[in-house]
Amino acid sequence: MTRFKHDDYYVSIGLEIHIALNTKEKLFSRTVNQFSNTHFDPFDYGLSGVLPILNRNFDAVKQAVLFGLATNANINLNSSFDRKHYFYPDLAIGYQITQQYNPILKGGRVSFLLDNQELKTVEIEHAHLECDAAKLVHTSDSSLVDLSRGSSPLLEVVSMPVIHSPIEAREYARTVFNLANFWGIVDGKIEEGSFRMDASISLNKDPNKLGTRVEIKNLSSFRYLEAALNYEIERQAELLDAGQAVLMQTRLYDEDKQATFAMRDKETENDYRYLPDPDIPTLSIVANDVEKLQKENRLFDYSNALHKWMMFGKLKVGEADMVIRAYHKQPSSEIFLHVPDMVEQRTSTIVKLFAHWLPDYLNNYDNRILILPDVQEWLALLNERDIDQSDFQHIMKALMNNVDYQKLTELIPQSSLSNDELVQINTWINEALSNQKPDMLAKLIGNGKIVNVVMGAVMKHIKTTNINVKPKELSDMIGVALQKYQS
Amino acid sequence: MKSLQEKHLQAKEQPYFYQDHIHEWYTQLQNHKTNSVWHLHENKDVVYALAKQLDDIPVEERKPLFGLTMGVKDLFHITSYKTTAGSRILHTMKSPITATVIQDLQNNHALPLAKVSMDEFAMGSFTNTAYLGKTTNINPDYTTGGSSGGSAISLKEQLFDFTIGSDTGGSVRQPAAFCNVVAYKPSYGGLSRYGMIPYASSLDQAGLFTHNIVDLQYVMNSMDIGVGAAMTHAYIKDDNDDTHIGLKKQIIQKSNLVGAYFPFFLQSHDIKDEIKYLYQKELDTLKDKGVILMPIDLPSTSMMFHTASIYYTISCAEAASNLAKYQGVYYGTPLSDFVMQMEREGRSIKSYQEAIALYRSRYLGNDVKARIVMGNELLSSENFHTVFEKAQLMRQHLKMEINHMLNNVDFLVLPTFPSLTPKWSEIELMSQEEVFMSDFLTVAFSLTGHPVVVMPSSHEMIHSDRSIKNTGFQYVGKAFYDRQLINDCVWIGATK
Repeated sequence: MTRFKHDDYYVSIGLEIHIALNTKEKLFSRTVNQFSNTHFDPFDYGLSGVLPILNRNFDAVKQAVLFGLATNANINLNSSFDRKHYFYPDLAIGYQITQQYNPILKGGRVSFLLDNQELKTVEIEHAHLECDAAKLVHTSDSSLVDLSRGSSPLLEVVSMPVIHSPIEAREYARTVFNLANFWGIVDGKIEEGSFRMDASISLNKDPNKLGTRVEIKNLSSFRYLEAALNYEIERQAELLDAGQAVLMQTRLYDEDKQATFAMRDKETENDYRYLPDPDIPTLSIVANDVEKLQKENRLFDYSNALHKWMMFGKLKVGEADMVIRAYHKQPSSEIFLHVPDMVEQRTSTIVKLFAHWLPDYLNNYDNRILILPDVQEWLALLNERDIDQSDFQHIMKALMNNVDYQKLTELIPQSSLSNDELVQINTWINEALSNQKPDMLAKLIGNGKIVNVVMGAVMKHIKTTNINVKPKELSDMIGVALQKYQS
Repeated sequence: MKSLQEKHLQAKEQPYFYQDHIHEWYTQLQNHKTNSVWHLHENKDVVYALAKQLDDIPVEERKPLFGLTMGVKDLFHITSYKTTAGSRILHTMKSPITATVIQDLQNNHALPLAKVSMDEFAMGSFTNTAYLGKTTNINPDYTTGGSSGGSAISLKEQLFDFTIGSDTGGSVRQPAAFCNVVAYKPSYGGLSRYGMIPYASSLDQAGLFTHNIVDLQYVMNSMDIGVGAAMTHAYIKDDNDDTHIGLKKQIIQKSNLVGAYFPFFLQSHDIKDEIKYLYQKELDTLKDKGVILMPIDLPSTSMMFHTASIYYTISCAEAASNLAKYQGVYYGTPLSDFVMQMEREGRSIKSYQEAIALYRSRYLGNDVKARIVMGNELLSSENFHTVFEKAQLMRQHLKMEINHMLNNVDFLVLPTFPSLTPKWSEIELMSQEEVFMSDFLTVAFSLTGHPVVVMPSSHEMIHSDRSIKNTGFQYVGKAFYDRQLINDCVWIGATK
């Protein structure tokens, strides 16, 4: 729970996210799903006598099911469509086709990391398919309608009101976007309105109750979402502090004024008169087809993998997404998606090393088929050691070339030094090198005595500590440091 | 009168058949008496060109409907025709598409000649609510019935070889009974609704009028039913036969037909004596022909007693939804003109919603508006679960009842309307409720989707001073066994 900084109000936020699905055809009409003001057919302008026909390849349905599988939702094998009535020029047919009574997905969840590395899970109430309205473009003296967006398929994802701060809202929305993007169900252009958010927010002194709900509609970026919610919290807290009631209303966010304002339109108090659409039979999905979809796409819990890579690999969102994406592309590398789970009890170093080894793997070994027991063995071995990136590359190269485990242990540097100790020794080494006058250094390098000289200096320091280092290891370290120093 | 098949066979042999007759037909249309014909093709030259196109088809390639003309209810889109649905709100509408049903008939070389009259948006029982005026029976004191009154009477006037209407609650069946012609309402889903302006989507179905049952069978057999761009079109490919899909093929010639009837209607106060008399006569005729008749008793819990209220609940709700699209923005009488007119009259309009509320009030007729208001009331959150959903449940029960009744019989036979064809003077005295309730016999099968054929009664009233002394009776068959039903009716009709 987040407390608003000045007052004792608990904040509850729920998000409704509209994802424009990445399909070739529209949801119920026969034209292509492209936004260019030329792709519409009589269904889109509501010609009387034209009936809805579900798009041929069921792309929209497949994408909805994918989203459901990716968020652990219940797939409703028999969902239905309803008409939601209201009058507006961008809604030619006078109603929106949506799923009010019986949506295609129920439940589900998405997790993400907050800045403080705390894991937050947001439950999804349901998600449903619906048709988009056309797009209104306002000029100084008129409004124009772009019908090409009309009847495009949307997946509306409705969260439970379990989000408790604007930042959480932002991160939740971003995670849903990344997830949708990863599975290819959104076309990726937020600027074109492919991902629109409505937020509901209420404040209450009692953490177990919800206050009066205010809805902010049509937020088109994560930045505006966060800003609008911050503004609303201030606004509502002020009202409540002054003993006034918060009105249940629908508001919009003004990007220039950086404030929300109430919608004047009476349309917001509509009774939508939902009618099960008599032109559309029940959408029946075969369980086998769901399984097939799962296998074909090699479904896995994306948000779970994402936050684990971030947490254990100390990666940023973008980096973690890239890692997962790359691994997911290679059928043989699927195992790596589970790397974070395998090291859960251990340090994050190994996870990060895997992430950074990625380009090498993709460039050289992407046909190499890896099996789970092997990877588990390696992780077990590697986890015991402190190794750096170059050691790791070295080891992985050997593994890719089928070096057997016995030899592998030889490859792993048997250092018993801790990271701190290594750092300290390196400091002494560099100190020793810089203490040499340049011409003396050159002379020592020339006659091969530099290593011994440095070693002597470093050992003097080491003797004053408990550090236990093998001579070979120390001379190797000096060799490495010398190379770096010279370049 | 020649049968349609004979007409076709004669026309088939004539090299310039359509071109030779088109002028004569147009003259006839212009001189009709009942206000049943509304629009001809926008461009006469195009019609002449179409006639030539048809005549250019070599004799061997001329399909079974070649030589036949049809009148089409103004509810169906045909490219380059006006399609108004009888409403001022669509006064300017010129169709960009052709309805599948019409296309199927055109594909078999029938020629649509004109759009015929109807009630506004198919809502009405007497074809008197459209902005183009009311349609009368051949005796102008009597109604043709509705909403497909134009289709029924123009056929009677011999302006076309067959006509197309639509049936949502009885709109082809009741006019057939009033005009003494044959009508057919297919199983719901048997024909595509694409291109048909919707009134109540779960009830609407295209229907056919012919002079006699043999002609009906001929037209249905000659129509290649095409896949209809609609998800409620039951299109099943028959492996044995590439044509005729959905409306199941099986025809079994039986030695004895078994029909079921309702003794209740021979006694009910809701049915006038003339109808009771004619019903009894109908049953006697069937018995004489060798049909085995079984009585069906209606228990007090039967949904047959509630058909009108179930029907009006569902149809008004669906109508309110289907008519929401008429806002004058994309097609139809332009909203912008209306708004400018309002402003000239000094009325300032403050919002889009206000504009279309005034626009729709102005351009929709009263019967239509009443249904929309009622429909919205039924769909409101207070009433949806208690009234609308309940009506749908009752509808399911009714369907089960009718299916059960049809289990061991070939058809049900019952009256179409509770009285003989009304006069206008009698209609004026009817309350709105009486008008709605008078549909109770036909709406039942719209709700359940069973196929129905209406045939003129075997007898007429002898001592009656009315000009229209007979009625039509409904023959109801099993869902999707339309061809079987029609076949059985041919056999029954052969005695008349």
